[in-house]
Amino acid sequence: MNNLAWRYPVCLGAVLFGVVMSAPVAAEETATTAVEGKARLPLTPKTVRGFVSRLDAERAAVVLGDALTRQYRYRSGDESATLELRYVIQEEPERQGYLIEIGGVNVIEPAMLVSDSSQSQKVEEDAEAECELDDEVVALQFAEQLKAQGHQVAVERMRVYRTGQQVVLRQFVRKSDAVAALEQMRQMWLEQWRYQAPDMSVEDRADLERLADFSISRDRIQNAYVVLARVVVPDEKYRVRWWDTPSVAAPSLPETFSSAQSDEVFAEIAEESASGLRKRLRTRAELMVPKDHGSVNFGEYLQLQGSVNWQRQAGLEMQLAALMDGYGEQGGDFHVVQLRSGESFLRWRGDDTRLTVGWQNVIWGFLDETPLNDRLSRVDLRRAVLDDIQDRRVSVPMVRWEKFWGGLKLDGQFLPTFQSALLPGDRSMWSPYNVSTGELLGVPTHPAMQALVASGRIRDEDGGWGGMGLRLSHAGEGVDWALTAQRYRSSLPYYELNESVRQSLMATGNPWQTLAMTSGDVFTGRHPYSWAYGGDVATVFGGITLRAEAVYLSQVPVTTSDLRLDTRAAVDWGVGVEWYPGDAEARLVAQVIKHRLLDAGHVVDYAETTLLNGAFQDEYLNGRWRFRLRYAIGLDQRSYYWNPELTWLVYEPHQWYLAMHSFHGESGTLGGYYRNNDMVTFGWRARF
Amino acid sequence: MLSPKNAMYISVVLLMVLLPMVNAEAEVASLIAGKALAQQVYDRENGRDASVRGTMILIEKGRSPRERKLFSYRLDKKKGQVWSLMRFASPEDIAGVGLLTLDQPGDVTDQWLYLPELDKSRRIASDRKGGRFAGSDLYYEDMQDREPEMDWHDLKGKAEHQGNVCELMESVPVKADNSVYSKRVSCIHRHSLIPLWIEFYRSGRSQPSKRMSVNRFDKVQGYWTVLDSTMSDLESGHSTQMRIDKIVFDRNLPDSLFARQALEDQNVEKRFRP
Repeated sequence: MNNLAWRYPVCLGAVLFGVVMSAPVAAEETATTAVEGKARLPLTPKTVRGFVSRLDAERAAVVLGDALTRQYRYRSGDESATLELRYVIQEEPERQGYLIEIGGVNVIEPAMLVSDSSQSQKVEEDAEAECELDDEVVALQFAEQLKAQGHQVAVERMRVYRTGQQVVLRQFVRKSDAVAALEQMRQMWLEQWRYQAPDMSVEDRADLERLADFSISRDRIQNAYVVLARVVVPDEKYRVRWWDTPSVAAPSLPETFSSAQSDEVFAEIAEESASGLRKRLRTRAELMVPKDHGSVNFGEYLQLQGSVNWQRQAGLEMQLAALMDGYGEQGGDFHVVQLRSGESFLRWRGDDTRLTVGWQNVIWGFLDETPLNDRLSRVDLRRAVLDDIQDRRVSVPMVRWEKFWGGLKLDGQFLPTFQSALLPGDRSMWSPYNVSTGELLGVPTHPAMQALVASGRIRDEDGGWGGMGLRLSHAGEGVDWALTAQRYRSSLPYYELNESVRQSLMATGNPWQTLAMTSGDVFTGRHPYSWAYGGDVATVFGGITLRAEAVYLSQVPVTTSDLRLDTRAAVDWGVGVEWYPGDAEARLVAQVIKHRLLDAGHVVDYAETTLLNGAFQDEYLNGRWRFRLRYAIGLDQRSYYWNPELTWLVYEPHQWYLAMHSFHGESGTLGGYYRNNDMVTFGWRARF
Repeated sequence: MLSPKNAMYISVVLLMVLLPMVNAEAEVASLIAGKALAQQVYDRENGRDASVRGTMILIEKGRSPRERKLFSYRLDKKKGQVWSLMRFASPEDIAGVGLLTLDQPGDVTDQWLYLPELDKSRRIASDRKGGRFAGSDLYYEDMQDREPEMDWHDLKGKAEHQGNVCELMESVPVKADNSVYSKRVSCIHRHSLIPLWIEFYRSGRSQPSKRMSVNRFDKVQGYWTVLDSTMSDLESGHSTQMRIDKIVFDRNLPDSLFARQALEDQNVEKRFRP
């Protein structure tokens, strides 16, 4: 229980002599700031009344309707100034007075006035003035006049509180009588207001409750207790501001960035915006030391990514990007250097539409690491799961159309050509088929298959069109959702045993004899077409972000018990949470992903798999160090993958990291297949 | 005969009951005046909308200062409903990251983060209070709209900051779990209603753990504006300087700037950069 909460009721209870409930009076703005040639002077009601009374005296000498200029000496507290007021006087008989239409105020002296008591601040010149008026009609008329002069104008209604004088209500000899009377008078006063003004606004009622200022004072001369009352009444004022700042340009016309900043970085940003050219470079390098691979002693990896983005005309954008990957495994005698296209495209942008043609990398789905509705993107498996998801995807040629309606977005993709996943060479330690052990990634080990995988030739099918998809998503109040429909081909190959090989194997039961009789490919990587209908949802509850996905897949490839390629329908769903334990820097993501074949029957593949994956991340020593742990745990079939990483962040934009990758599990699982690939890596990444 | 312990207890109670009326009334008066001042500070005029080009500088002994350049936009839809969009422009590893916050009526806030490397936006928890924003000394709570009713406010006298006299106001959360701080002491400049410095206290500590101080403020387009301030972590010695390089008020920013398209497409937001 905090101190103030303790004191407040005690004070109320202990105060037997009344409570002072004086309300704050909004200080009428009397200080001025002024710059030669322009002025900001809040004209108080008193000031305006002062003018009127002077004008009354000078009426005989004034021609109504003429624009006049008159000097006025203004003083408030320690501040004083001589002002020159330009105005037009109009008579208003029905109001029995005059309307002063103020055209502007100049400060004659002092020429420069500091804005507060500090002498070190100089008020900057600006093109604005303001004044405060009591009457709404006067304020609106003044605003109209300013608008007619071409100024930007704003009229704001303000609530002020006017304090009346304190009056003596009654006098009592005994303190207890005074207290009782005070409370009675207070209630009567409030009831009187409520009775007399039943249509009083809620705001005014709340003010009255707060501003009933009754108190008790001790009159020592008369030896009595005096009940006093001070009424504080809410009132309204109108502030009229006018300025000449132009409003923002219409959205269809891009603004020209014309700042003259001396800041180098903002100058660079400005230069980029003005020329429409933006250059980016990203680099990664890594040394890998396997723990006990058997053939690979260590490996190295280098990637350079560069892009140039150019926008010249309104709505048109072009980007060219390229990547160079260099990968080597010492001991395993595997080296490769590849140059490929990054996200290179031509884009047209309308008010609420984007049309992009070219190589793009688009990842749909709300879940981290394994978004289930991401079916059209192309996978890069050359380093298996060592990298984050954005580095495990490769751009593909596509036409993409996006349409926005506020928080709603319709996103369409069309892939005219199909490209299978980027795979490591069959001699690489990350190959999805192991020619040494005869294992296939994702398929439980089978003696017959082992011989065929180890000694047979494996080819990947390519060609055909890549698929298409449509996604409707909404980011709104409290919850985000998305619905997706896709016709897709998984870029990951599913290896089919060639029919002639399969028949021979079924007939002889001897894989070595089968291989001796086979001259062509033993396995062919297939990418059957399938439909995918899915949905996503994300919301926040109690500081935890909940994300969920589900997708129905019409034709998932499987291998039957007689080693034929077939398809089954399947449902994948996943639920994830993102949480910041202790509401500090640590971040925890945990997801459960389920895959289930519908009516699986007798198939070689796992009919049902459950995966727990996610990440934990935290920073230490004011962001000098970052620790991250990625994990993937197979729950139905035992499989474990751990990736702790410690990164040193002191010298931006460089990051130096030390990481470990550990695999363990049953046959056919990720952990089991890569069980010999445990390794320590040391790497560097930077963006320029 | 009263035991010393009971005598002490009764004395304290009597003392409390017989406190001079002026002191009790003064305390209540300062609470009410404190609340009124807090309300005035909250209601301080700051324009219907604002566009900012700013710099956040992370300063730490033994390390080169790190700069984050950013653009931010704010739109006051109505009382208690504030929309904001922030975009980092540098350094390169966070360039393009955007944060969209829609403060809805009824104390509900929606927030989305745009990650350029994934080219998609994702909903994130908006009621984080602890945790440092972008590696700075600003907690997420420091950047949130905190209404006066969420704290008890008490005036504690006067102080001075760079020659400016200000009112000391102590603010304690009404509910302890809706703030990472147990107390904040602010020095409010009466004329401008700007807190010239604020000390932040954590639970169980008598000394402040953080201090925000205003280095420069001025009137821009008629609105008192903090142009340069520093948030210091008094325990670690780390500090964050927040500098406004340019600010423009009342440009009639459209609602579409605070929507998904502007968050996911920098080119939509670029045209509004000051």
